[in-house]
Amino acid sequence: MMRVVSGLLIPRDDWAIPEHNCGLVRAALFSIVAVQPEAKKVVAIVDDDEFMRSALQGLLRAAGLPVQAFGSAEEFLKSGQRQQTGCLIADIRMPGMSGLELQAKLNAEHCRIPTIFITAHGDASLRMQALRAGAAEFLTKPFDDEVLLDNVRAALGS
Amino acid sequence: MAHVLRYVLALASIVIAFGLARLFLHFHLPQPFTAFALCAIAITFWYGGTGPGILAALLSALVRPFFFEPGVDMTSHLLYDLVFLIFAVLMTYATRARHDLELRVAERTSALTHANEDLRLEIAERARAEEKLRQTEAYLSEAQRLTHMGSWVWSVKGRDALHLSEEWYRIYGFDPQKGVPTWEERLQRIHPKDRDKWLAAIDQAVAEKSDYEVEFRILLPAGTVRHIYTVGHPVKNASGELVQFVGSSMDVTELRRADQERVTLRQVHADLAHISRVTTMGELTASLAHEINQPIAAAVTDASTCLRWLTRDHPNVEEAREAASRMIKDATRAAEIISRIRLLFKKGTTDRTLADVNEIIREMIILLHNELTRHSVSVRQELAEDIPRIMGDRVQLQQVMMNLILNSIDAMDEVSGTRELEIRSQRADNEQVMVSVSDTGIGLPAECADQVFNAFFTTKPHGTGMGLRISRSIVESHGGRLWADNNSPRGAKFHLTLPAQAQANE
Repeated sequence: MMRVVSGLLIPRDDWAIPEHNCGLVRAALFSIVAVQPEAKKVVAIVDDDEFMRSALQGLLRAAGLPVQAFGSAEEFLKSGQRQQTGCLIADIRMPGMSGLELQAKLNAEHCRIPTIFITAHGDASLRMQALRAGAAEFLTKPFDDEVLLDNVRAALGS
Repeated sequence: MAHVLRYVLALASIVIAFGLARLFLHFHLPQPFTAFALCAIAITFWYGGTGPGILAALLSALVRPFFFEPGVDMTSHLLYDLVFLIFAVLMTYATRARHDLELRVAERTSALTHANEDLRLEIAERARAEEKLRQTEAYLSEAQRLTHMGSWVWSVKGRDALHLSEEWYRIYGFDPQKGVPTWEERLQRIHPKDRDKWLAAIDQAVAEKSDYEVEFRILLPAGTVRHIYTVGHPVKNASGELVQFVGSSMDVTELRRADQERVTLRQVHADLAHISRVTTMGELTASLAHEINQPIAAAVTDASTCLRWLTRDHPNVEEAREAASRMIKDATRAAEIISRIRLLFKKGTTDRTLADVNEIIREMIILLHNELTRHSVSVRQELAEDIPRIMGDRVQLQQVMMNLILNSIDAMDEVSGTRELEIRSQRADNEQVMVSVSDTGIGLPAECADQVFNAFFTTKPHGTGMGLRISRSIVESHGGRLWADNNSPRGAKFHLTLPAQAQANE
C-alpha cells in the first residue's frame, strides 16, 4: 500500500484504505509526512480522451511520478485535489470547461498550480494565450515524452 | 264454308248435273247423267264435306231412274245405285284422307313456322353475339394496344404461327397484309445477342412441355431496339401430346427505359450526395485530423512508456506489456477512425444493405466528437435497443446524421447558455424507425419551418444550403420522411423516419 520514493513515504493514487482503518492510517501517514520538509505532490492529468489519459498516466508512472487522472475540468475541481497537485497537465479542448477556462478559474482562486497544456491544435495564438495566462508549457500532440517529463519535474521542483 | 251452304252446294251440284244431262238429251247426245252426277258428288265431297257429299249421292240415285232411264230393270237400278254408293264411300275416305292431310300439313306448317321463328331468333341472337364478340375483340385489341401486349399461338410442329394479334404485328414491326411471318422471319427479328437465350427458353419449354417466360430484345428493320417480355403456355391435345404454345409478348421498352432512368437518377443523387459529403468533410478536416491525431499521440506516448519500462536496469515486462496493449488499442482506434472517414469519402454506390441506425448514430458521434467539443456542445443519446434494422445505403445515412448534427452545432454556435444536442432513436408506427435530433440553438424560421429544406437555404455565411436538402432527398429515396419542428423551450428538432427491413424489401 505504500512505496518509498527518494526516501519519502508518499501516498499512492490507488490506495484503498479500509474505512475502519482510515483514521489510523491517515494519522500514521501525516506523522510521517509531517516530519518531511516538503511533501511530494501529485501530478494531475485532466483530459476527456480516455486513451490519452491512460497513456499519460502510464508514462508518468513509468517515470516514477505520482499521478492522478480526471476526465474533465469539473471533475478535477470537485475532487478537492487542488492543494495536493504539484503539476497540472490539461487538454485545452474538452467538453464543458476547457483547459484555459480551468486555468483562469484556478488563477482567480489564487491557486497557482504549474500547468502544462497539451493539445492537438497547436496554433500560435492559442499557445500565446495559454503562456500569457501563466501556463508552464504548451505542447502539441504527439509530443516528446522527455520534454513533457522535464517540464513536469521542473514544475514539481518549483 | 258455312254448314247450310255446304248442303246447298250438294243440291246445286246435282241440279247442275241434271240440267246438263237434260241439255245433252235435248241435242240427242249420249245420256251422260251418271258421269255428271259423279262429278257433282265428287265436287260436293271435295268442297262441302262428307255429309253434303252423301246427300248429293242420294239425290243422284233418286233423280236418275225418274228422269233418264225409267224403263230400266231393277237390277240395273241397283247396280247404278251401288256405283253411287261405292263412289260416295270412296269419296268419304278420300275426303277424310284429305282432311287428315290438311291437318298434318297445318301441323307441319305450324311446326315449320315455329322453327322458322326460332331460327330467326337464333339468327338475331347470333348477330348480337357476333356484334358482342366484335366489340370484345375491339376492346381486347384496344387493351393490347394500350398495354403494348400482343397475343400469339404457334404450332409446335414446324413452329408456324397460328394466330398473331394486331398488336403483336405492331410490336414486331410486321405488316399483317403481307401474311403470317414464318418461323425464320420471326427468329431474324430477335436481337442477335438475345437469339440464343430466346431459342433456349423455347426449346426447354418444348422439351419439358412447360410454361416459359423470357425477356429479350428485338431489332426492327429501322434499327430500333425494343425490349420484349414473353410468357408462353403449352397446349396439349386429348392424348396429352404437346401441340401448341399460346402466350403473349409485352413491349417493356418504356419500363426498361424508366428503370434505367431511375438507376441514372439514383446515381446522380448519389454523386450529388457524395459531392456534398466531400465538401462537408473538407470543412471538417481540422476536426477529423484531431480525431486521428488523438489516438496516434496516445500511441506514441504509450510506446515511449513501454520503452521506459523495458530499458530500466531491471526491466518491468508486465508494465511494458500493459503499455504495449494500450498502444494496440490506440492504433486500432486510429485505424477505425480513418476507416470511417475513408468510407465517407468513398464515391457513393447505390448498394443497399441491412444497417443498424443506432450504430450509424454512434459512429457519427465518435467522428464528430471533436467538432462537438470545439463548440462546447454536450450530447445526450437515448437510443432504443429494440428497433428493427433498416435496408439502406449506410454511407448516405451516415451523411444524413452528419448533416443533422453539424446543422445543430451551427444552430447553437451563436446562442449563449446550454448547448445540448439530443439524439433519440425509437420504434415508430407502421414498422418504421424514427430518429430525432434536437438542439438548443436558434430554432427554425418563424414563418415556415419547412423552408430549411429548400435548396440553397442557409443562414451561415459559409454554408452551401444543400445539406438538409440532400439529407431529405436521401431519406426519401429510402422510403422515409425528414421534417423539422421547433424544440421546447428553444431550438429545433429534426425527425426522420425510415421503413424497417421487411417494408424496405418490398
